Amino acid sequence: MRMRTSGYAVADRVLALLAQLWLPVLLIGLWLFVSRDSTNFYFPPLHEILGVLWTDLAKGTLLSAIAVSIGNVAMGLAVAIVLGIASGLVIGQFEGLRRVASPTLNFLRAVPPASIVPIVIIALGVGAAPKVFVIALGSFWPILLNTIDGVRGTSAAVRDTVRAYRIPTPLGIWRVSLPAALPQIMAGIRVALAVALVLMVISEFFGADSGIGFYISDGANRFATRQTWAGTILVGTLGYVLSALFLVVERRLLGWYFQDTPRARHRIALRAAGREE
Amino acid sequence: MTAKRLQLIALQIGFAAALVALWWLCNVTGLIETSILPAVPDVATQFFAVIERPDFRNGLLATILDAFRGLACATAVAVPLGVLIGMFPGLERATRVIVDFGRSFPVIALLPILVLVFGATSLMKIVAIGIACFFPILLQTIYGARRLEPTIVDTVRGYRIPRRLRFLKVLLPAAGPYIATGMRIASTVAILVSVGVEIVSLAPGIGREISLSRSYNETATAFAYIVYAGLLGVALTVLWNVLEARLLRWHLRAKAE
Repeated sequence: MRMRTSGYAVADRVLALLAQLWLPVLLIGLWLFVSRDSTNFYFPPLHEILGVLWTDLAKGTLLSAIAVSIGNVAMGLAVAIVLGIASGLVIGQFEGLRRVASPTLNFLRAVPPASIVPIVIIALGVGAAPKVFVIALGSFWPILLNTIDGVRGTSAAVRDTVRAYRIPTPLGIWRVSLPAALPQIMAGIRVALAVALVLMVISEFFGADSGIGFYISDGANRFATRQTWAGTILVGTLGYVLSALFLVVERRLLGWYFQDTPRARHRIALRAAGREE
Repeated sequence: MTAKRLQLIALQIGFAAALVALWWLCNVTGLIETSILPAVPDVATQFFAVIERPDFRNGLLATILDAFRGLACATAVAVPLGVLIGMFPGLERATRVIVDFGRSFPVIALLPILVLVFGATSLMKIVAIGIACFFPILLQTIYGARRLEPTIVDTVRGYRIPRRLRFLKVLLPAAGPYIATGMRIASTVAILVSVGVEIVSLAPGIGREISLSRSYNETATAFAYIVYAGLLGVALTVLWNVLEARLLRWHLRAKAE
């Protein structure tokens, strides 16, 4: 009996996978076919792009570029997550502080993070530090604001209970506010991840001698369009894989939360994007 | 009540002033070089001085207009496509991977190719903005079109309402609030991408002015421009709040009941 259900389950999964994959596969096939004899300088044949991608991956140049870029993103995000959650928990805890700080925070959040890239990179040089700084600063705001939002969203009953039992503030923050705010925090980190990827690419365009962004712009500067396309495809794949990995982590951490509220994820994603539903 | 409100506003200004004071302290103690963090009075002077500059006004205008054009193009394509995808579950499944790929794709990575093809022009910027705005709008529209109440679905089916009417009179209005949400998210994206593209490619706009000021070593001017870019984002939020309150009054009222 058990075997049979799992047999059906496998078949179902394969069918579901096919239903999702036929169009992407078809489109890539179409791209391969249409571009196969392309002599257009800007749109080289896809199989040649993939060839360059494969060679550079095999040579190891691209692998080290990926390592550099991911390292910067990981460092910057880690700093932003620690600082963003910590300050968000404090600000969210004190309603008065939040109301006083909110216009300033909303302004700072609205500053396009890319705009500080030229200043930081030109001043601090081409090393990793300015890139990590830019990524951390840009990712900080969505995490901070979502943490504040998440703490505020804690139900009044829970907060009253914490107060009534005179649970010490640090313990209350750690054991009550943080778990309660976690879904919203994760949504903020997801937004931050997208911001971090954009800043990673921009900062490497601007001044760098390594990284995927450098690989792309270097190709463009040398009019090696195949390399540029290869790098662009790589960045796209990286973004997709990272956000898929993030979903897995989120499901692990928040399984308890999404279990009984299927629509909650969407609602929270909207709020993270700066929109109260 | 008003006294309380005034007190709050005073405290809010005080908070911002405290941050500026902290910044100023960094200047005075020499903790951070003025080439990175310029002196407060210099930025304040430049903040008002740049208003007189024609390249500032043109740049700001170019950023706003191009962001708007890109958003408009993306909306024109994404909304009908989104409703269509939302109408057919099979199509929704088939496009899921593509939509997920598109929305996690940092469009800025396409910039070198776009610059090679179009040059550092407004058109190139609009294309980049259009691609970046397309996916959030598409995603929300699909979601809105799929989330139709079963009673409405049954009514439409029961009365055998033709496809075209169903599309125009049922799905589109029902998805309206979601489309608005998508456009709201996309409009923020539009400004961010616009400034980012201008900074990297030096296409006309406020981002280009930031980049140029910085390379002329006028960091104070660059900071003044950055402040304007932030104010632009704040203005956008305010504008959306007003627009949504007006356009979607029926939806909000229905939800409140």
